Amino acid sequence: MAVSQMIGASIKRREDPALVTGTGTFVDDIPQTAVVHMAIVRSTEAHARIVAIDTTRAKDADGVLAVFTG
Amino acid sequence: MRRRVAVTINGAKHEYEVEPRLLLVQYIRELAGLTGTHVGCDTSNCGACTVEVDGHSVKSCTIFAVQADGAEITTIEGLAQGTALHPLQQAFWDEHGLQCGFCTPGMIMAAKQLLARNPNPTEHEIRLGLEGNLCRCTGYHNIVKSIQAAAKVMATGVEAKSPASVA
Repeated sequence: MAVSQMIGASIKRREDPALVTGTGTFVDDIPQTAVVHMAIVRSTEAHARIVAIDTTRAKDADGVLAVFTG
Repeated sequence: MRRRVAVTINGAKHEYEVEPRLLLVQYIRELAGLTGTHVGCDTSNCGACTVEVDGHSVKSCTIFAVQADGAEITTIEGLAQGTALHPLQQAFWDEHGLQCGFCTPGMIMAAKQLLARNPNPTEHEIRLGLEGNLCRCTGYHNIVKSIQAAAKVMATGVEAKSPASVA
């Protein structure tokens, strides 16, 4: 297509067939392998001084890879 | 306690053991592997996850997979016949009814249901019918045009098949 023919013309998009058939790949559509999940445990006290955090039981729990405090 | 959920998606049988809290959209995307159905908001606002369940259009993040046990489900992947696009898919392409394409599967599935109920909707009826689907790119104008174009093609298709129209 010559440039003169493109001006003012409605050009068909090349990406649409995938997008209208559900086969476009958005980031969330990429399969994830070896996913690790994180859970945050917050203090049960609204106003208190943290003296120590005992992570022994959390570390021993089934499937737990690591426990971080700070 | 996990429950066994068996459904038919686009004609194929699927059966998985799932947590009762698993959403239908997660079942479709993560277990059945059909990622054309998108999760836009996870709160039933945006309609990107719209699919057809037993002939009704349903936001699949609104129901649990266990509620769909035994159902016939159609997703965006089930509309095209081989390389032949469904009239709605073709019309969205022809009429520039999409830009990024994220909302498109939900738009098309909702439009399919709308046209099944009302084959010749007015512009107002289309806009009303799609109020549960959000698009952040096109401003809806071309989406409405796409559905009007598809309605025309689909109406003609039905006429062509009718013996009365041959004479």
